[in-house]
Amino acid sequence: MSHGFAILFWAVLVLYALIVGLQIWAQVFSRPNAMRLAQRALIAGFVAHTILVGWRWIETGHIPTIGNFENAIAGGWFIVAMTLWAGRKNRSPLLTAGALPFALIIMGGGAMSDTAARPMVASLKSFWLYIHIFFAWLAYGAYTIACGAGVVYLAKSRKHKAEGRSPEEIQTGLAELDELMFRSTAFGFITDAVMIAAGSIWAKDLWGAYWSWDPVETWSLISWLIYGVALHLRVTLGWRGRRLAWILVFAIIGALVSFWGVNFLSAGSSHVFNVG
Amino acid sequence: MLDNALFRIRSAGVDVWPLLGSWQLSIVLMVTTAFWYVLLAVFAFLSPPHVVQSIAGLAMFWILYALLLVNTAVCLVVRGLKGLAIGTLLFHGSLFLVAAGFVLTVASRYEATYRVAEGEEFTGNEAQIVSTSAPRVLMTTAPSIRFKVEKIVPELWRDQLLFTRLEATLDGGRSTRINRPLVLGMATFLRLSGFGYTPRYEILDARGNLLESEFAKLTIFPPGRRDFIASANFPFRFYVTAGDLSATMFDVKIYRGRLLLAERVVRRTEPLEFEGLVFRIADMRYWGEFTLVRDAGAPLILLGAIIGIAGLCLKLWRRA
Repeated sequence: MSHGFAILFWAVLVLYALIVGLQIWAQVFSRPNAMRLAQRALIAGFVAHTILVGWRWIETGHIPTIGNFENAIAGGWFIVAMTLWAGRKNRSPLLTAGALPFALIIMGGGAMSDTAARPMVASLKSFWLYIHIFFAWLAYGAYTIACGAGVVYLAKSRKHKAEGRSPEEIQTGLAELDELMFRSTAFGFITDAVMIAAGSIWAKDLWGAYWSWDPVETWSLISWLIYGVALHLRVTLGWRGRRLAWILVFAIIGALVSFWGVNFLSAGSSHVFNVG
Repeated sequence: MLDNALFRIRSAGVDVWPLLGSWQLSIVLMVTTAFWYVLLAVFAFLSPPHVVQSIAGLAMFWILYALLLVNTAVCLVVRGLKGLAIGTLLFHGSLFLVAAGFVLTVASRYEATYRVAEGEEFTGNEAQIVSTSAPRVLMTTAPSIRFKVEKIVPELWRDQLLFTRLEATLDGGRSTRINRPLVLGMATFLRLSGFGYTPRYEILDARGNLLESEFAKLTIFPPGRRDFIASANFPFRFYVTAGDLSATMFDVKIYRGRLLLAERVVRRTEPLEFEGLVFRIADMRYWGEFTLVRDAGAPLILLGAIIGIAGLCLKLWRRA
């Protein structure tokens, strides 16, 4: 990575970290102006992040999808984009503090791996790669939003409880956040399904079999099943509010392991982000 | 007593359907499946892929899948097919197609790997077959195919082991790349899955008369791997290691039995003298590793995936 690129990358990372700190501070000390400032700073950070993605694209000649580092940049971009979308019109500004740390973790982890620019290798030159990765990031972005909304829900409901409000009042007051948790999960579940299906089709072309129990495949399936359980609990058994929030906060572990953990713990996966 | 027993069986029969079709059982089964997959993922960290695939095929997984399907079917019937949202019906119905495709794959999938050099025709000759899959329940015969390899083009990035292109041109204007298989029929396809070097070696006498000349498919890619050529007419073995990615130079060791006769790094066409004879690599071609797969379950799985995703989208769209 070039000098200028490295400076911009770390500047974005530091800015995101400061935004998370500023939002938490603004919430704890009830500073609405600071909250607004954090939202504006997030937009500035997102613009810089978009430049990073474009820079890398021009530098390598392909969409940043090869190796840990490029996946971290692209993945972080999707998480921030979806955080901005979910928190638009000041619907839930604190959501940034819940979701952005995941972008920080992923991008920080990516920076620790090989950052050298590599060509698009023959096995990855496929239309299905873009479908697979695009939907993967949509899914993981949505799951991160669901988790972030869960964290905010738990924090706010705890605060409301301490203020002496009844459970019904809490649920009514946080209904919008509850709906965001559910919709993000449903959206993530669908895009995750597309990601798995596109990956299977590509795997059939590349490896000769649509499923080979690769660790990343297995973890993706686990993650999809967990969110499937969460949706069933919500739709059929009426689990909402704090119970759903707790599930979504823990369910993100499956997505994190499939993207990051497998690669970190083992070299046994044939997935794209192992190239780096 | 018989009446009593029949009554109990009938009561149990009445009780079992609500249980099989309950939401609680759905949740329990999905959580159990996720738990088993976590164990499988742990094994995947510790074991090679074929062991993981064997574990994934254990009876407990089949029992879980069967229970999940029964549960889904009973849930759909108990809730009433007519009253269900079309999206719900499509998504859950697609799981049966996926399951049918999965079973068909397990029962009939055939895979074989062949090694065919440029200019060579694949005829099913045993020397060209690297491996074939074990017989399956529904697999009666191996697919019969013939093809001739006209050209193999590998392109590597700089001096690194990264293929930016790997493509084979076959007879009849057909071609296949490493991730674009050639479709040969319904659920049957051939893909280029690897490559190697096929040097033509020559053995000459001291006056330059050609005594032996053959192509030999060697597994000397990537550099550092060693393979040997066994002479057809002489008691010699030529051990060859490629010195670079494009195989322009070789480390050659010549043995008669266990006796080392000569050893040197040579370039293509450069002669290596030993015991009054000359060995040289006169020409170089590529061989391709071709994998033939016939998987009758794949189209069903694809259809199931399309219907399932369409169902999910429909459900979300209706809700929005």
